[in-house]
Amino acid sequence: MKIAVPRSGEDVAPCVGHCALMTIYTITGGHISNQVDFPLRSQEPFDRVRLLRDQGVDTIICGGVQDVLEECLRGSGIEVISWVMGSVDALLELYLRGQLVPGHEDTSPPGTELPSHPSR
Amino acid sequence: MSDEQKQHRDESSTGSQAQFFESVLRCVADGVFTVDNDWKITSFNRAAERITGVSAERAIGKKCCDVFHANICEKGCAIRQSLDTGQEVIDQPARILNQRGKSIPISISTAVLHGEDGILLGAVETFRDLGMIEQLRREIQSRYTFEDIIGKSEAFQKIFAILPDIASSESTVLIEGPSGSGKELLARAIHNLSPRGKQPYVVVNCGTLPANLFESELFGYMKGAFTDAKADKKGRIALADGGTVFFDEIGDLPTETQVKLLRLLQERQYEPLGGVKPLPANVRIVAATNRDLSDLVSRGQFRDDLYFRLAVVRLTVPPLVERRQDIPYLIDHFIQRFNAKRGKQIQGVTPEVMEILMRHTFPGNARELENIIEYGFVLCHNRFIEIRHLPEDLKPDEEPVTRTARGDSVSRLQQSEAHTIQIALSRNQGHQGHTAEDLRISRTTLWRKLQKYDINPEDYKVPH
Repeated sequence: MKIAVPRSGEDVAPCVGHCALMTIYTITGGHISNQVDFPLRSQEPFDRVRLLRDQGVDTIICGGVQDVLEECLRGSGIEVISWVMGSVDALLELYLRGQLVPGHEDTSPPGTELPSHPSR
Repeated sequence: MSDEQKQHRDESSTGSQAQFFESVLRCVADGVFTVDNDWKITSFNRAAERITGVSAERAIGKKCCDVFHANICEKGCAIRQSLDTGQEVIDQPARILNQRGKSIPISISTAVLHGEDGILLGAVETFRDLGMIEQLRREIQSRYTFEDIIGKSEAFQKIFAILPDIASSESTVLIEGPSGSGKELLARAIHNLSPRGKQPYVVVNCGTLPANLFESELFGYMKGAFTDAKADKKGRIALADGGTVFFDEIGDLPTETQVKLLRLLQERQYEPLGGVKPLPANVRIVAATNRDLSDLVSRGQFRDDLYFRLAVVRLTVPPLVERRQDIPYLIDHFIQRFNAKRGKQIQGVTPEVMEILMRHTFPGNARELENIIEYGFVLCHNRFIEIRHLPEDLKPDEEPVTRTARGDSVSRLQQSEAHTIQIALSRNQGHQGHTAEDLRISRTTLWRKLQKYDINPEDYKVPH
């Protein structure tokens, strides 16, 4: 399966509609087996939907997202875990454990062991 | 005065100054917040809470980009600019996302903050909500975008799924749906989203255009084509050159004119009346109808070849009664629009009104709902539209008269929603993804509702 994360440095980008970089991770056997960065030049939201759909992305983990863009992503069969914030690595790890929920805020400093349950 | 007394006076003076500034900031209509050198918010005034939808309690301590989700956060941050240069930034335009995923245009001003000893403390930003101004501009220019398409229902999910492809293609689109369901809005959004978006958008209402004028209106005429043709006149196809022509109520097009439109679609050329050579038609065609075109075809009232030319892409907008979950979103949308147009600050409808509207059958669809809200705007001078502000035919026979009765009604509605969520959670053993699927709502919506009703999904998990 494939997971897309709009990134800003090591963190998830604050807004999908305006992020400059999208990383698409391939998950095999519960682990990341590949990752590809897609620099985004177009500010057109539909171009982002098309990219994710063309790349066969199953899930997007993102920060803020326009509600209509979220509907477009869902309409395209992509699961949206939105309004999360924090380190991409920590969020991905939570996702792979099946513990990532929308609105999750990862505020732990780098290197901190992840909690067994996400805080709400 | 002793040193101790002086210190006490200075402290109380500093304390009262802080209180003074806090009171001033609370009353300011613009959003104001401060950040430290790590971009973490240290203060957040009331207007900032109102514009972003985030409470000061939640905002303070977070990085400002995680609260504002602005288009300039990654590149072009105004605070960064002030911190880097030490200069003020004045009236920089930006867009932020509020907690409901709505994009809000704002105007930003920033400046650096120094302590008494000259040490850099961080920065201050003030921002003004330009949402109402933008709304008015859009109303005047009819610059509708995909943000104006309000729909969370399954039917709209299907439309949203193909909208990116429709927008980028050149294909002819046929929009079907009952009167007042928002077909023209969808057509305008398709045009504005397409590469032709900056070119003209011309409407042809097939229901009101007489058959004998159709050709001259659509294709124009040349000087001398007929007695009164004293000068060349451009038709709608020429006026829309490079853009989109929207044929509204295409099902009402008289049979004798259908063939002329068919020729245009087939050959992508047209000949003005009195013209000697065909001209290329550089337009995209979008058509809409409230009638069942396939039925008209089977009854011989609509040409099948024209139908198939038009229905390259078919979109069906269902009646509002079949997508009741969209009603609260539409109410919110109309209230924002009328607030901008009327200069009011109405915040919503009361739960009793919501209950009535959720039960109403809306034979006039979204347009009827819009009219109901507009009627309420005329009568309402408070923050919420109440039952007494509704048209007579919507008022219940016995209006609740006591506050207690109203209060009970509110809690019944909300309790019912919370109860439904709890049942679904138990059915799905606390799994949020499955519960959202079960309730046919998004995971984000479920998350918001869990927060609203303080339901913890962990309580519904079965221990292993």
